[in-house]
Amino acid sequence: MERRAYLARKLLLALITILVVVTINFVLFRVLPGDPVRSVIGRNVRISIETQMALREQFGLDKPVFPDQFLYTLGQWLRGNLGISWSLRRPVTEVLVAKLGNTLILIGLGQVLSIIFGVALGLVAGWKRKTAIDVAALTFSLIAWATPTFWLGIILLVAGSSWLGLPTGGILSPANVGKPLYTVLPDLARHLVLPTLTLTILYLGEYMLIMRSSILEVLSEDYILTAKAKGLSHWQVLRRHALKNAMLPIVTLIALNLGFTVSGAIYIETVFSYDGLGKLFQTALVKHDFPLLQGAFLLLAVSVIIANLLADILYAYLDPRVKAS
Amino acid sequence: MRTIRVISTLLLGSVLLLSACGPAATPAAPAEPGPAGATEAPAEAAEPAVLTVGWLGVPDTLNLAYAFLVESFTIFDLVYAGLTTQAPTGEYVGNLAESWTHSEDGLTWTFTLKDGITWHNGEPLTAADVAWGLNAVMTNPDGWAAVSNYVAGFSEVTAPDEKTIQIVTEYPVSNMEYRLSWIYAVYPPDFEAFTGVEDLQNFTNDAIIGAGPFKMNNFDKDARILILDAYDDYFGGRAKIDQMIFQSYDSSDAMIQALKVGEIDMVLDVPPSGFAALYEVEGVKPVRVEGSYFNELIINAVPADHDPAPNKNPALDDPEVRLAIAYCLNKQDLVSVVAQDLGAVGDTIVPPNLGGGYWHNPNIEDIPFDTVKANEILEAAGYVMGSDGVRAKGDVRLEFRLQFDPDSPIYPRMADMLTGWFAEAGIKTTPEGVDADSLYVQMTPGGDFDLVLWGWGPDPDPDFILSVMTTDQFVDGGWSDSGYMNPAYDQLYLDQQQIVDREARRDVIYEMQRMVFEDRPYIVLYYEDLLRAYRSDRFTGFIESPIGIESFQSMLQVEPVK
Amino acid sequence: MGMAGAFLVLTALAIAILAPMLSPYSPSEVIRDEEGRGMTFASPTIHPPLGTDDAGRDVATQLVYGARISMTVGFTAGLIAMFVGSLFGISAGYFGGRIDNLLMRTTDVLLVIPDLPLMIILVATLRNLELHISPLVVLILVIGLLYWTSTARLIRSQVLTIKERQFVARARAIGAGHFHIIRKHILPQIMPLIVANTVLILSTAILVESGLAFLGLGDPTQPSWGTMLNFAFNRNAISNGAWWFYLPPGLAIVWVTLGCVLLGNVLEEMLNPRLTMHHLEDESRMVAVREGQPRG
Repeated sequence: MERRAYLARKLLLALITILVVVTINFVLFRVLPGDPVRSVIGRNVRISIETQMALREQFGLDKPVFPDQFLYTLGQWLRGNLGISWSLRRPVTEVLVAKLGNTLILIGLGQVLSIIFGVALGLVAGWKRKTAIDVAALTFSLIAWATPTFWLGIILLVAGSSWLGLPTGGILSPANVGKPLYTVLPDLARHLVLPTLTLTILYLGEYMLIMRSSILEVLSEDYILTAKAKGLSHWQVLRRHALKNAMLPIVTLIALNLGFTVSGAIYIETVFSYDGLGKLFQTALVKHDFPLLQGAFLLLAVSVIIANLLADILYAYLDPRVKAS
Repeated sequence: MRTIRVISTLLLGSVLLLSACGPAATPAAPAEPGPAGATEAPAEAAEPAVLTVGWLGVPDTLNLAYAFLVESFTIFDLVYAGLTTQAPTGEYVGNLAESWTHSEDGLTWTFTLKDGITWHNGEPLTAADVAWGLNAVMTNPDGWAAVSNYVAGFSEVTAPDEKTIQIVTEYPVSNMEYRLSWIYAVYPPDFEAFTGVEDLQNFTNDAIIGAGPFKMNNFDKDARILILDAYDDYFGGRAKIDQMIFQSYDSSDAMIQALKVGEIDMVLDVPPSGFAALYEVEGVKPVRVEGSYFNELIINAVPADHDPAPNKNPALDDPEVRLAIAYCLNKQDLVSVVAQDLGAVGDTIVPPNLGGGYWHNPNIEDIPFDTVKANEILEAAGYVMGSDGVRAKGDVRLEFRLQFDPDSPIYPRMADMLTGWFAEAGIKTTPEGVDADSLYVQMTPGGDFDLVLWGWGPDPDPDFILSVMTTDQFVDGGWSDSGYMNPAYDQLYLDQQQIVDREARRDVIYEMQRMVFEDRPYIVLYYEDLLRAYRSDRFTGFIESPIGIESFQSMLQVEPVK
Repeated sequence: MGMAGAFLVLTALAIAILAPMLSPYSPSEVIRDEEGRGMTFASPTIHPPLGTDDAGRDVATQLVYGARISMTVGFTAGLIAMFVGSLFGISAGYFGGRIDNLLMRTTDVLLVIPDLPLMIILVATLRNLELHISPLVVLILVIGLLYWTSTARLIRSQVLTIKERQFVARARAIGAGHFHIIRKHILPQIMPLIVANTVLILSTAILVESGLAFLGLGDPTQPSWGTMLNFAFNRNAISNGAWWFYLPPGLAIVWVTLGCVLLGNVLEEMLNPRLTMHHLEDESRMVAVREGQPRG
């Protein structure tokens, strides 16, 4: 198909999806009854009833009506005003931006490692098809898929902290917080080992399967013989053709995985008290801090949608069936 | 292949770029040179003594006008000083005030300031400063939402001279010292500009200036780290430690681990399930003291003729049923199983350690756990046991909803245990988790519930917890969840607010406790202990008291172990 | 492999059904020592076979009763997903045209939105409304209504193929109604496939339920395996070294999920020779294979 048409279609889809997400967010916020004043101030404070009423208005609980307010709210969101977090009493956007980097590090590192190890493992498994290694790799992949993310995190947390002395949580030790990152890289690395390991184990299985299938297909192709005739080694042939073959599905998988990686991040950051967007999301849930919850959802969803779109664009240039105009 | 290389380079590059940006913002320029960490060497030869504290929350703001969380007030206690303060023994003593008197009629209070008090910026603290603060709260109560309740009834505050503050009230105030302990002296120039409600509440007051033993170094809200330095010219004598660092943790396991490996020196608020593990750790001293948080069973006490009518099982209006319910509660078991023995059986709504134990009525004889007796009482009252194990009198079955906040770690368990005991007496309860926000509204003023499990954290002065039982508080946004309406009790409540003589006031409060105990809108189950811990191999001198080892008095005594 | 899968699933089912008979204790019963005090975090050496939790309750009992909750929620959600997915898939494949287009766009949109954040926000909101629905029902609904997409796509492509066949055209020619055709000619053909796919969906549903329960969105009065892990994590099982509390529930989840995956994969391969699990065919096919199995 035409590349331009393909891209146009994907762009439209992305926009529609964003619109759906925005609508869901808006509707959910409007139907919320609850009394956040109590959630925030708890049962330990003795403020007068009048003051409570004033506070309620402060927290913005006068619920506007659809549809004029919908456009107004949308405008606010586009301008980056996502409201005020009830529990943190700071603008939601400010809080989200502060935590974004942490999650990107974790997810980025995890994905890169799972691709590297997955591809490597897949190569070996496909090459040594039907041997013990292959079976082991397949079994591993299967079991990893069936393992709950957070549980694997807990197991690794306990094992890592008792046997290897790795930290049980956080991004940096208290003494190092606030210093510029490049000065405390070893500490950061120590804190990143376990969460990244969890992510990697969980996601490498799929990349491994792709690579393995690609190897198997290449192995059965005729041009293997031609290449051998030309004097190329098995290994060179495999690498060149199999990797090329696997490229497309891998890119597709990365795009597909983005949404799931975000979900995984929520669990992993919770278990490891890793101060990123995922942990923020979970904290907002526990504290019933709905502005923060919805702001985080909006950010996460839109990020994933945009990332998917970028992957689609990349795909358009990679997939031989999508022709340039 | 090229494409792969390009992609991987891009990915790695972006990851590295991001790591250069960094997760935690570097702290704002501190007030004094010398940032966090015991790694920095000061001008003197000795290493600074830094006490690192771990906790599970974080202050919501440094602005006293609008702070609601306990953590904020813990910091205020260290950075600010008020005219009075609560001593570790529980009574109220002077802090900024050297002494005070009140007139015969109790309407005029005169406070004399101590000498040599200075603000953290070196300026002397005068009576005018203190008076300014009190007046600010009085003129802008909605702005000063967090403390405006405490100036209720104040009509005029003046500073006749540099060291004297005079407070005139409309009616005699029985708990003046308690009230003033919350109204810390704030540095007027910081707040003078804010006269409206919104601008005052939006003021974050990050460069907080007070007269307390510690001054603010930095509060990094993203990293949730708060650093205090010792104030050299504190009027009560400089602290022995040089710096305090407060670090927030998301999980109590991570916090306990940090204490174990020595990343922090002290923890506030260990959950009961984690506390026991601390006894095994070398060099760590767990501290438990009687606390004032208590858990209760709330029985719908809204009168049937109230408008709007309550939605409840009418059997709950029968005093015999309430008495039988009380006999079904094995409070000791709740303490040992649910609180892991870190608490004490409760009887009245004024816990024994309130105000140093002064206000609790010790003459109340609690109902013991005896389901046999419960059965007898119900039988005698005409509730006959049915074939399904539930007692009934005519149409009225002893079947109740037992609701609670499902996010709480203890209430679901308690509900299960209670259900078992109730069943022995022919009472059927159905545990049901109801989201806390909804439960508030359902109860107050909806009156739509039968039995609810909940808790309170009363103030050191009994006025607040007593107010929870008044008729006036059963309105939208009010504090009465039981719907108890007793005019005699309401009158006593107003009375005790104005009796300046402590003993006379106590008699009234004793009577009020007795009323609540016998009418049973609440059945108090148990009082929770206050749980703390610190590294005794590193620091010593903590004052272990019901006001917590983090009180400023304790912090003034703490020093590193030699 | 299929046999192994069936074995795993069936044993779990058996345990769930027979729960009350397998345990001498009730799930809320507190285990006490000789002095009558509750034994919290007792290790399996003190109290076999799996010790006690933070409230002194027998972990093995919790595990066995938890099977009921986990599997009921998982299975019911899976059934809803199957039903909705089949409905949409059949409609799209059979009627084609605009309906088909609408369905495909809807699945496209749903697929891109990250599933966990969406579910969390839906469940949190629904629970906050004073609807007095059991938290488990909320979970079932939310999971079921979000995971039907893979079934829909699969059914649709199958129906498209069947539609081309002769007997359908003939049936239309003699004036048979749509419902009749669907019921008599199409359904029987795709039923086996629906079943196979549903087993796969079940595995996802159980994983997702455990995850949501771990985050506190389950019902604490009826703990599933995920809720048990929530308790373990939040009530300091780690600090207390109580591995008997956080290890078994996770193993149980892996057990059942693995069983469903093995069984489902084998069934799908057996019943649908056309859909090979080849990862390198065209994009839409790969999506159909992948999307049915998101991570929990």
